[in-house]
Amino acid sequence: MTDASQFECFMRDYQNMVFTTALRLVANETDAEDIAQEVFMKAYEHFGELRYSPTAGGWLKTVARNLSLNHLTRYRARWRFFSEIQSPEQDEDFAAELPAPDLHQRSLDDADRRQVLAAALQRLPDSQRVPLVLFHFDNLSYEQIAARLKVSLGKVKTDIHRGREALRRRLAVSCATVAC
Amino acid sequence: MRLETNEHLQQWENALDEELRQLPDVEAPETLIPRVMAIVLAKAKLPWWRQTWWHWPAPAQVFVVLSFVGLVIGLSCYGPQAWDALAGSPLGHTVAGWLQALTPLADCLSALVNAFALILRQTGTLALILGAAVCLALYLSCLGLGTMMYRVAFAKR
Repeated sequence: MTDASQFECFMRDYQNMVFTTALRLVANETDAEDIAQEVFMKAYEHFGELRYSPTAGGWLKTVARNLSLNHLTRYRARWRFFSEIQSPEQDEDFAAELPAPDLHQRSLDDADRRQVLAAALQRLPDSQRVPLVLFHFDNLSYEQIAARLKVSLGKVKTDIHRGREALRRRLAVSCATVAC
Repeated sequence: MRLETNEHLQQWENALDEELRQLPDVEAPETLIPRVMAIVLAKAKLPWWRQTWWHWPAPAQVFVVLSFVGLVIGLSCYGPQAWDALAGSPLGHTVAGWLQALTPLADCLSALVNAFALILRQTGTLALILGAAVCLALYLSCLGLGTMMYRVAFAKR
């Protein structure tokens, strides 16, 4: 088996994980694919060491995370002034009145519930989604997230709290819609 | 009552954490592997000297490092003497001849710079400020237009 075909097998094993890591952070499929491509190009440079390494998955995930955060810093900062002016959520007033949804209730089946949750996560603004993803998916502590994003600890806690609240509201709306 | 609320909130956060961690991976687009492999194969076809230094054969890497070290040591020890010798040698005269050929270009650049300075002096400060303001306004218009197009193209729906 040549190096190229071995690398192709290696990519098949990890492509979903790398793409998902990038997609959860940047919330844009085209950008996530570009980042995944960049990650695998870096992996190819180090394929000699990664090929038999038991920590290759961790290495790829870390590189995907770092490139995604760099991408957000590089390409989003210039638009932040304009693009993070939030449009008022149509459903928030209504959703605020709803109780927190029981995630284990069966009004939505497992697949639907996960789909709703994944879509709600993608719709969060960067400032809430990124720390939430780093906390829940990458197991980073609040302090580590603050250091990585170069923001204060208080802001990280607030953003994560707001992100969870936004998810709660959106899930409540979905659950209420299904219950109707 | 407050404790109950906090407890309920904590339970919900734990459930959310559990639920998020169970989210399956998203399938990567089918185009990802072909894209990467196309670049990898194109890189592999390049001759070794057009690839990054890390991919050069070991003897070539050693040769380049030794040459560089030798050059640095040679220049730091014998640089001034070599420069003096070069200035008095036929080679030095040849190089001076080449530089002489660049004189018309230098004159042309100098004339352009002088003309630009003259225009600046003639137009005065007010015209300069107005020009800068127009440039700034154009820049901001481009930025605003770009932002609007970005938001239209990438708006989260």
